[in-house]
Amino acid sequence: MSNHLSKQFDLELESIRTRILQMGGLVERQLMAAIDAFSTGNVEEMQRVIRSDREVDAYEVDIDEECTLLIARRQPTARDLRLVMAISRIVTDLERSGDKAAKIANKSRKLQRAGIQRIPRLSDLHHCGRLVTDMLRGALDALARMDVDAAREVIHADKEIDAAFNAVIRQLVTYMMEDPRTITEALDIIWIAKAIERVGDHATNIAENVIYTVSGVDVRHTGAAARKAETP
Amino acid sequence: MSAPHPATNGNALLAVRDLNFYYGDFRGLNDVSLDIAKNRVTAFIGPSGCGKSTLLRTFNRMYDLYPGQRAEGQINFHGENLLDRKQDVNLLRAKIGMVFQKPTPFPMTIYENIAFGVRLYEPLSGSSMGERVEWALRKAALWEETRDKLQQSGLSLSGGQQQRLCIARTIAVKPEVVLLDEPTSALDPLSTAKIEDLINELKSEYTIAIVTHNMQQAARISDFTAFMYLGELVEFGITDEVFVKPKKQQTEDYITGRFG
Repeated sequence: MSNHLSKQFDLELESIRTRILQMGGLVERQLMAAIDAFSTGNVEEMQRVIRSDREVDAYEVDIDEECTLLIARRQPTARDLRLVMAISRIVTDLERSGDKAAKIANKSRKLQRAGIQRIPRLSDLHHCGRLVTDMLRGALDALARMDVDAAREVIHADKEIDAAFNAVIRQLVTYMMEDPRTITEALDIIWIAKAIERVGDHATNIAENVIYTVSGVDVRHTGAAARKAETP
Repeated sequence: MSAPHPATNGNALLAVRDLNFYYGDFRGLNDVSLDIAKNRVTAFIGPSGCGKSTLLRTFNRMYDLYPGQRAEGQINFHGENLLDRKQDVNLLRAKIGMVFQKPTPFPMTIYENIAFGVRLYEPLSGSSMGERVEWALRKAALWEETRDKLQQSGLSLSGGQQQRLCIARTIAVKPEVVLLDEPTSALDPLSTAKIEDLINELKSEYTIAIVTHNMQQAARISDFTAFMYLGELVEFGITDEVFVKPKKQQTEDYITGRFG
């Protein structure tokens, strides 16, 4: 896309874009670290993830401020306006995703500290976490390139996550029915699974905002994007 | 004749069809067709020289004042082509009034500024004229500020008040259409806000067409927006759509500040 007549406007928009992608990169690393730490039981890494959530929060405040200032100074229109609106929504999705990473780390630490491990650290859950991380990365790539097709793939992938999440829950229910002593542990793992599944929803929101920015069509709550991806 | 634009839903007071305009040999407007919807605000935006003011000035044949300027095509108003030579231009300008960029009060009292135009069309008695002057000043949101100084010169008012006086003068003859050619470009933000509020109130009774260089103004006050470039109508549509999701790349480039 060609540049604005005002160079400063270009710089301000570019700065917001860069910041949101940096924030996205940080959240992605946080999530991956939290999921790996859950599997490996690395408490130090869990604590690092919990501490770093403050950085994610700082990004949120910064980017929100930049969006507000840009609207006040430039009164963006059309695609610029859609981009700023989309970014201010994406910031929220990223911040929540960051919270989920911290939550996964927190619950993993609690499990680890409890000492007794009756339920194996499910490899299915780790797989589910990897899928979600890929999905988040896909959404951020779609954002970086303003790629509608890539965004549609992300939205489509959320179904897979939902299926994987349900499988994990069924497994945990089985453990709990077989041995009530596993209930406390299973509930914590359910919290983790739920956090992972929610990140998939946030990645979907990000992808929907990419579609909105590029095409001007709001595909939230319509299922339109997913349908389109299904048809070859 | 081409069909009315879908955006205005056929609710046209002025229907412009295949309009061409010439300044001597130079073609200032190129096959323009659009509808000016009744009781709505239609804004014309575009870079300098795009033809937006030219188009506005065809609506009340302002160009007749200048030799060598002519319009071809149709502007249908109550079933008649107002470009027809047989149109009574003075009567037309009573129905389609115009306000210009710079406030142009006559060097007369505030009262006379309004009564002067009314007298040309209607022989009103003294008290009826007084009522009409008050009515017009009230409509233009200027009554409270001028009720005690109607005998002062119109030139004694501030720029923003002068512009509202010009609007009062225009609506005093009870036109159907009010044309505004950059009515706030010489005004401060506060006066601009007052005029914008006024436009919003006037549209329940009048059909308004406004040329503005201020795109945010078009976005704020108009129902329909026409984007023009090099004498052509590039895009015409519902204002909220034009500013959030324009259909043409040229429109997008212009309203996002990427033109050129």
